[in-house]
Amino acid sequence: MAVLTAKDYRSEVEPTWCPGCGDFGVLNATARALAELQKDPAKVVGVSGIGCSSRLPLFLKGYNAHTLHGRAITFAIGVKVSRPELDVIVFTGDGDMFSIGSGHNPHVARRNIDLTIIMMDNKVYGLTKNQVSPTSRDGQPGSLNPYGNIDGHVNPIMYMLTFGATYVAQTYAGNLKHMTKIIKEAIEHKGLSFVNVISPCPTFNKFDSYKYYKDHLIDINEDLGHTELDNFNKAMEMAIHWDDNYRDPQNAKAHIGVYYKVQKPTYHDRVEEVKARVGREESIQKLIDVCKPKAI
Amino acid sequence: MANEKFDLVIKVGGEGGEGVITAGDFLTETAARAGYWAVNYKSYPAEIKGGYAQSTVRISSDRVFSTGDSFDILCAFNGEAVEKNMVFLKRAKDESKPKVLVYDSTDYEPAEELENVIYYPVPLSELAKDVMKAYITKNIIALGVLAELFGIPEQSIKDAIKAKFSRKGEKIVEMNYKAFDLGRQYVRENLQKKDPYKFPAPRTPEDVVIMEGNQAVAKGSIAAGVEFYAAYPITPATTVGNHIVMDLIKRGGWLYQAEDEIASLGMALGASFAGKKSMTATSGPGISLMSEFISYAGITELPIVIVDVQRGGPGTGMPTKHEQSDLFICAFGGHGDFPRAILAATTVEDNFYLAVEAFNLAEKYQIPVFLMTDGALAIRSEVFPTPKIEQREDGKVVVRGHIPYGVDEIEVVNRWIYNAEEDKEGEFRSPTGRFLRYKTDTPTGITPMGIPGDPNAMHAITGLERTENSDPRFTPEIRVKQMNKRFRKLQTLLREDADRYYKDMRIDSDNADVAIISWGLTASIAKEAAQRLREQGYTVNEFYPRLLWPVKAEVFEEFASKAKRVIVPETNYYGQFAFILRATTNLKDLISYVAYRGEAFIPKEIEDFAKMAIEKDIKKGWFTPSDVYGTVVGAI
Repeated sequence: MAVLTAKDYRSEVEPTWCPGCGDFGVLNATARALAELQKDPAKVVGVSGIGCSSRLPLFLKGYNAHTLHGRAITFAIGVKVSRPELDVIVFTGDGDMFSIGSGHNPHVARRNIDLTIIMMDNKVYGLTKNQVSPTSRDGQPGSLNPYGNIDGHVNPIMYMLTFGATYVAQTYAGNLKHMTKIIKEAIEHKGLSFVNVISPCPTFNKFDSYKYYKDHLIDINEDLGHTELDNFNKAMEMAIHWDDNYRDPQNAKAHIGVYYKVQKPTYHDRVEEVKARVGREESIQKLIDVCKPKAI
Repeated sequence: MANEKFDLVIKVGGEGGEGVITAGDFLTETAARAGYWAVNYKSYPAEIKGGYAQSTVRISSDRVFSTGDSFDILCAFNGEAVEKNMVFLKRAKDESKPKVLVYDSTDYEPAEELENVIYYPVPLSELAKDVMKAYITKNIIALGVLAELFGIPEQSIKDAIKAKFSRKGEKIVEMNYKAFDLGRQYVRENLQKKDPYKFPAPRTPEDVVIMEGNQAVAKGSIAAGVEFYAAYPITPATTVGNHIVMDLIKRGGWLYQAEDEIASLGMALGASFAGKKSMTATSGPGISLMSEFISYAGITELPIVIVDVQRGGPGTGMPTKHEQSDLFICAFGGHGDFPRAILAATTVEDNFYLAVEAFNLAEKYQIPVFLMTDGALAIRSEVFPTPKIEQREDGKVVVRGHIPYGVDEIEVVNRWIYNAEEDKEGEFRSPTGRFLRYKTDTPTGITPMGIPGDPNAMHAITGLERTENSDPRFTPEIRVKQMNKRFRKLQTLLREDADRYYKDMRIDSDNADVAIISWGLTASIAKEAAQRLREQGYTVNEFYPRLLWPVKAEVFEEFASKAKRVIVPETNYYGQFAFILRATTNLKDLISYVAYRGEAFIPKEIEDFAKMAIEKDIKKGWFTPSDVYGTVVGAI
């Protein structure tokens, strides 16, 4: 097979995002990561929910499913559990994954299903035109709270660590190189990987701009020496500092890098163990005949 | 070989955990081993432990499909069982046959002797505790009592006991035989037979299975080749999963316990998209939660089987009770317009074959297909002829047997998967080579699916309206073409497949006194009512469709034209099927006859109403058993 380049992973459908949307970067980084891994597009399945970010799979070549708001993870589990040889990537956003779809997060993580979840975090509902999301900052105005956000926020990194994800990282849509590296690692990781991509929304979130991140970004692995990646306590400690950025956005840094990376048996590994133990029955008739009165 | 007609209903009642349900299962298996048919309706207590449980077993020489109007024999393990059934015992005085009460005289002494009731006191608890020194043998002692009193074939019942306990060792089998013999001995030494009920001699046993309703759904799905099952616990659907999980693993598939019903259907659809036959089973509340994904399955054209084991609604309703009130949500639930099909089972045996059919329709038409059953069918067990599965060398699977709705066999259908080799003309490719998953101009509306892994059929699916190659687009022209494509599948279904589900029809006369259209469990009860009406000289036409949606109007219209009145009995308030028939056919004068008390009809209620409708010349309207009797008649 000829060597595939990033553009071989793009469909003919042109993105509909606003100019300057961080999601363009995520699309490019994903295509690059797949090219670097030389994945067969026919064996990669992208699954998304609803929202600006969830349009992404439609712009990828291969098998893709744009599903329901908040339900991408459920659909992706069905694909992966029934066809474990496929690479399944969930593309989602902060509202899709941490508001309407949040009930699925603990369960996909605790089972360590071998999926890659890429969440584009723009801290706002964009497709419905500016409402605050579970990752919005204090005071952020939205169409339903013009007086400014009073709702508090969730820390997606900490949640996914707590739920049992075995690869957790944060990256930034303005840094194609870092993003490509992280997405590639996440796809290669065996087990549930969660990548939070800080993805600016120039249309509705004026605060979280490219300028802001240019001034505030810091790499936790390279700049802060967070290198003991299989240490859960250290990962949690580092994750807590993501809240600093919410408390004091002007002075606290915005972190990117890998928080946690550990190898544990995946759901599929355990399924295979069970299947080996139970064995196979070729005859359907035998499975029915067990309902006959037992011969004495 | 005895050929006399035989029909006996034995009810066993008592405290949950005392082996009441097991005793019913033994009687059912004994019937099968003795060459007779049996239907066993079980009623578990709502409590986790304890509470009142009962098992009603009807044993007969010809197949019957309901547990009749009432029991002939009540075996009461405690006083509560007598009290719960007092209403029926009191009715004995108006009935031709006597009722028999076998009761635990350790626990209960009748206050009065009821007319036409024959009493057999047996100190069941005392015998179990003092003689057997094992209280758990109480139900086996009771079986010995019943065997001696009513001549239940000893070898058959002992074989059933052995089959159940042999796994636990010879000693346990011997102990249970001893308990059984103790019951027999007590009767011989202490009781005088006063009733007319006598089990006939054993016949050569047929090749039969004994299955519960949910088990039959599971086994039928396995025969259909299901590969993925998403489960979320809900009464009374949970046990479909219990019954399928190990079979599914043995067949290379998997059952995944989801975090909620929304997730269940999402997962099942993901597996379907990945190329696997998949399903989920739930009850009313689960269907409500799944509605958005049902609609999504409609627009994305993903094959999926959804089993609705109905319970009493609305809200949390009556989870352990029988009702047929989910027809509206199965027919109309989910936003927007999209094609779907609904099959409904009338018996446990139906559950098996219709599970195969549900997969066939889902796979052929790439639509959501509902298999509707209910809580009473779920835990009822039936003796029925063993289904035969032929697995051919080429992978084809054919299901045969006594298929109750009158077809000879069911060939298992697999979805149409795109094959580039066969598409040399590029019928399903755009000029630029893109795969046209949703090509609009096929005659049947059906288009081939692309399955992940195939480099020639890559595509996206989306819940948005889309072009033929699945790009989101909302222009009027594209919208209309895609809608017409999807609904053309339903027209194809009506043309090619509907008739096979309309064969359970009987026309006595072109101008019958009464015609009955019924569905689900109620149909199996209506059948018995119809037979009784016929024996009383009425002309009765009957129609028990297994396909409830879509509706082939002309079939119903022609059927109805041959009777003076059409009654549609069903257990919900609206008369949901009659409502749908009024809307989809020219039949406006249907008589809805409904019950919504959480129990199935008994045959007598339908029989009596039909006679009332004939006598009073009723042609349309809405009636309940209260209109016949002036009061609610419990059927338990």
